[in-house]
Amino acid sequence: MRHQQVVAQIRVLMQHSLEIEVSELAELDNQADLLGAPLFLDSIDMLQLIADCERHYCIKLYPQRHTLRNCVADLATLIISQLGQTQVAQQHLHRFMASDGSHYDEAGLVELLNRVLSFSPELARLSKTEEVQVAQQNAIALMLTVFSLLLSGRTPVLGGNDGLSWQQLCAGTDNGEPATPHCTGLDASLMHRLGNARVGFLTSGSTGKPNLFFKSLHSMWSEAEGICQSLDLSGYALINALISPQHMYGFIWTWLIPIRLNKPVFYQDAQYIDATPCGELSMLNILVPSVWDLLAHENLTPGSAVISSGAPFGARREAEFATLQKTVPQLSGVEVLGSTETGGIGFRTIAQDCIATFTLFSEVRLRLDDQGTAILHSPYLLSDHPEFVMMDRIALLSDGRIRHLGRKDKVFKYKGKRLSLEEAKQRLQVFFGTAPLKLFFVEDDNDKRGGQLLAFVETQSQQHPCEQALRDAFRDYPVPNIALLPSFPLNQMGKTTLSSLLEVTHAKQ
Amino acid sequence: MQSNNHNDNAMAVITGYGLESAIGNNQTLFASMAAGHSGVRAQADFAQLQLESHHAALLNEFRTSHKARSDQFDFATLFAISAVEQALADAGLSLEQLADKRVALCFGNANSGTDILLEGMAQQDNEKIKQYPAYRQAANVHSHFNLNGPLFCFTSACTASSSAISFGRELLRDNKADIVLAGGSDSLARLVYAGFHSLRSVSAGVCSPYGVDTGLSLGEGAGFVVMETAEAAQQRAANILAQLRGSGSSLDAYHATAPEPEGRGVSRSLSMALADAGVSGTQINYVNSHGTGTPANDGAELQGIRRALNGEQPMTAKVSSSKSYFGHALGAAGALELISVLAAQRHGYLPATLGVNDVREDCQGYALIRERLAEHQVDWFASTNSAFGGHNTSLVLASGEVVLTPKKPAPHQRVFIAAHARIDSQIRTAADKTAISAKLDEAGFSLKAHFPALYRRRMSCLSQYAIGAAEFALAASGLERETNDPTRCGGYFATALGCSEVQERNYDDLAKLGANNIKSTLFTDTVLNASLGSLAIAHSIRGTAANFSDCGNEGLQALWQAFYDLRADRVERALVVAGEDSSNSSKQIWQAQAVDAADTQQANAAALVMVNESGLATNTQPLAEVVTCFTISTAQGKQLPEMVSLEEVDHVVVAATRQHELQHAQHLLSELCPQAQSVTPLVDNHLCIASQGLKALIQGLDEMSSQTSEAPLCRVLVVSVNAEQIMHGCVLHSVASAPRS
Repeated sequence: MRHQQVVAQIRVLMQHSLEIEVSELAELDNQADLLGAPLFLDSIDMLQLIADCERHYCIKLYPQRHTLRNCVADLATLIISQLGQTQVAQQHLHRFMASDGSHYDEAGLVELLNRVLSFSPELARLSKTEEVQVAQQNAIALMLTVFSLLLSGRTPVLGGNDGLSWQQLCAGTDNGEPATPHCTGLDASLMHRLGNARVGFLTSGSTGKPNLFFKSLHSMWSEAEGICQSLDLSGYALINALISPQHMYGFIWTWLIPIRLNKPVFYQDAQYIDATPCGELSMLNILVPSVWDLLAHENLTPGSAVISSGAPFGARREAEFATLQKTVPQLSGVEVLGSTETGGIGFRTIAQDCIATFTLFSEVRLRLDDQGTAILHSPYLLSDHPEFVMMDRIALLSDGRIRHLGRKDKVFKYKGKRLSLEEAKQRLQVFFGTAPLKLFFVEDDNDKRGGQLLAFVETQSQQHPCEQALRDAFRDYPVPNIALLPSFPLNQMGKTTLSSLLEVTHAKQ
Repeated sequence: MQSNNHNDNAMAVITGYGLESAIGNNQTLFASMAAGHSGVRAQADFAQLQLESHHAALLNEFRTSHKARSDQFDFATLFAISAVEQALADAGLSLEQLADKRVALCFGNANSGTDILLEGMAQQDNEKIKQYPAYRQAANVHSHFNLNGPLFCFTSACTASSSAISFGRELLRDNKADIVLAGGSDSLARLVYAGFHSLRSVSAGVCSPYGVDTGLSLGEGAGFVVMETAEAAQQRAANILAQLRGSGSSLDAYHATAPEPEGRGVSRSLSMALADAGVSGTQINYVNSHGTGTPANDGAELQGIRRALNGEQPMTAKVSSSKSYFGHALGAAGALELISVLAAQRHGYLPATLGVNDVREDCQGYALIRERLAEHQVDWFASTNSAFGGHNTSLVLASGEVVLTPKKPAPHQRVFIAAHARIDSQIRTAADKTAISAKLDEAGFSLKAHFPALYRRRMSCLSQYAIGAAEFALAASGLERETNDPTRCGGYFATALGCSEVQERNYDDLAKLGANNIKSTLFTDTVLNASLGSLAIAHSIRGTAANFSDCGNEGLQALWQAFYDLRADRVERALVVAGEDSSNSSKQIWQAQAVDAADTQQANAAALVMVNESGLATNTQPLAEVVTCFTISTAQGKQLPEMVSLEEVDHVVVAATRQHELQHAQHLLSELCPQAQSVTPLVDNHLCIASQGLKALIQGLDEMSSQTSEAPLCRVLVVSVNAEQIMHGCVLHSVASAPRS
């Protein structure tokens, strides 16, 4: 970086942060002592200026600054020197790495994309009007497949096990001929170019019914931009992806944000968990609560951070995080509230903010209608959805934050009457105390009563409650069918779904 | 007019102490010190702030055990209540014994209440917001113990509690109280913790003052001493722990946060305390220094102490800093550190500084007590503290039970008001009772426009108003300024909330940008005495100083301290300034306090120039003489039993924060002052809290000067009533009628 550019930036910082007028700055020579004429800054000004420079360039200037004169020219020299050291420390990192040992630089990925776009028979064979299911695979291969499809005008769908793989796309492309430069870089301009393109995400859904949602790349890139505006992520040297980009949360946080920040990313493959090659550098760990324990494999460096989403982080992990903070200096954590349908809604600082209180992302608006239903307005919603009616109980706090009070108490219709699922749950808890339990009302059009109530209880006991007592407790309610399970199954996003519960129950039977 | 039974010979003695600190309370303090325990440790709550350090001396166990009450009170209140309870028990005083005594509370506080304010604002909870202002912590304790003596809240940051102890002694000597509870309490807020990090002054681990590893450790806690006259203590056969023989204070007029590099301010303060005590520097056996651990403080302070005790000769007194035990407890620091000496002396020891493996170059050559308590029963010892704003305080004490004969005090000087000025929606001075400039526009007063030479970049609104009002008053006084000795000029400042607009920006930064983005350029203006520091630099004030916060009485409290210092000739000229700015947060706070017309608040300041006989120029005619200062508590029908006689008062001006208190006060004062021609309220169109007392005084002066021969106003009583229904007042005599001493 040229000295002149840094000098110019320092002057801008001085103007804004130290409230120095442009006319005063015009009189300042770059070699002049800042504590003397013409500005007569004091030591507090210098502290602020150094802090601003550190933040702007993501470097540390203390204690080296003590060896330099208080002038703009020397400060610029120090900044350039420190930037150089940081770059040296990051040099051993590739832009895209995975725990199976594969690694690529941006140019390498671009070259692979261009070869596939230019020569892949498999790609040419695919219809442009139908969505293309992408196979589950190594994260880097997955995203190469997705971007090959996007750049060729196709719509990829992620989240299924089977489908198109990168290996299939590459077949027949190694012909020794130069590829056409369809793509010149993985950067913001590419995302803007593909703005209208859509990506499908197949989700299991908490009710067990799979859903397919389409998000525009424009919406997801906007969300990545919004996140970077709300959270200062620039100081982390490496993004450690403990989740796959095949889910929307992973797509944004482990693919788009590394590109937005121009930072290296390391994908932990579920089969090849490996320590991240970050050395002494701080890293941003992207995870869902169910893979929280994987952090134990990491040598967390001071100043690192954890981002969690997909399911509530939970009180137990909150406590474990606080304990971890005692051994890892300046470890921080953020929980992101959101879903595939809503996109990111807000965030909170783990082990600091109330477990249910979130700050909205800057572009997200939330209001309550007359019935107290939360209506979400956000640029991160599904395509063509101006607003979203949330099925969550939300309280709006006076400082603009929200309190997430959980899912609304669901009502089900049984024998023509509206009944409360929460009430049914409370009645069941009388028999199982504090044991975790999940209750579902499964609607059935062939059942005159409307459906049946299914209960799953996480317990080591195999003793079912006395049937008569159960009937007494559920006199005006359907008596639930109860399955006792030693542990609830979790899906990849750390959620327990009806389908997985049924699967385990059937297997057990 | 009789100001009742002043007795400079009355010796103030300490008969008990109590504390809550990170190394324990009364029961465990000495054992912790003897074992070399530090209260500074890694704090999980601070680790998440992503700052360079997360060490501090917090009262974690106390916080946990008192969590249920922390929604109702800031921890500063809770720490203080516990410390005062212990102090009273240590002094052998029961609450029943206090019931018929005038028990004064002098309370030091720096930055308490910030956490509860931010919570209150986030939750829109007025009860929490109400707990924020510094004076609230003092008022809570005053009302918890149902005290019926004066209440003062000192807010000069790290010198707050030592200022409180010093003023408590004055109250005893002036027979304004029978017993004084003096000290300080502070709870460490995240914002303050982050603010000190922005100044790069926090140690990565446990601080080691004087050591090569620099940096301070922050702390919290409360410490209070019980003071009474030696005569009263002996009458009830109390155990006398020490005699407070002298006190001093000074301003550096050098920098917002950094001390004067040669410690000249510390030296002046300590020299003043030695002179007050009538003892030579070489007689001092031990000094408990402020000793923060920062590169700027320790060496400069030791130089200053040496110069005061031994001139240019090497210092023989032992010295240590108690910060490595307690951390820097800010508003409670002075009291906790004094108590550490009292506790050690009870067992024949002196406190040590922990963690000093290698002594820093500029701290070498001193008899530092390191690592272990030193066995040494001393005759005389001193304690020094320094604060942001360049404020220094010193206390000189004689150890043990033997009550020495005090030195004969110098005769009292008469104290006059030479000039005044105020800035609110317009500018008014004593020289011209009508506005001297056109009404200020909506932008308000600009120091840069009126006095560019006094303006500094980033100067807060409050500082601009304060400096501007002081400058107008000085100009109106006609006093010689070029030949004025800055060390003989005192600065006294009163503000309820300080620079609230700057604090608001700081709150926003914390909420939006995080703790590691707090700006050093803002943080230094968030202490309540920041404007006093700016005032000192602008007007070259290097003499005595104090900073008060209340909810209506702080202006007259500042005048009270100036009155004592001028009367004792510690300084010959004093600037007394009260003011406040206006911001969204200040309006919210005043609304929570339910003061009248909270939304009409605007920035304002009032200033007085006061002089004593030494400072009165021969060709200058003062406006009035201040005869006495006093307090009355009207809450729950309480009144001081030995009130100053008010029968000869011709006129009364009274100001209050609420209309119903004003009416109550008018009624009460009409009864107390039967000869008064009238009891008039302060006429002001806007809410003013801190400056209401001084504005009432200015109105009284105006009315005195416009008196007619048919109805002369020779003696005017000025009273302000705060939100706790406590009245502070002073009596003014027209100069012609004032009895000559």
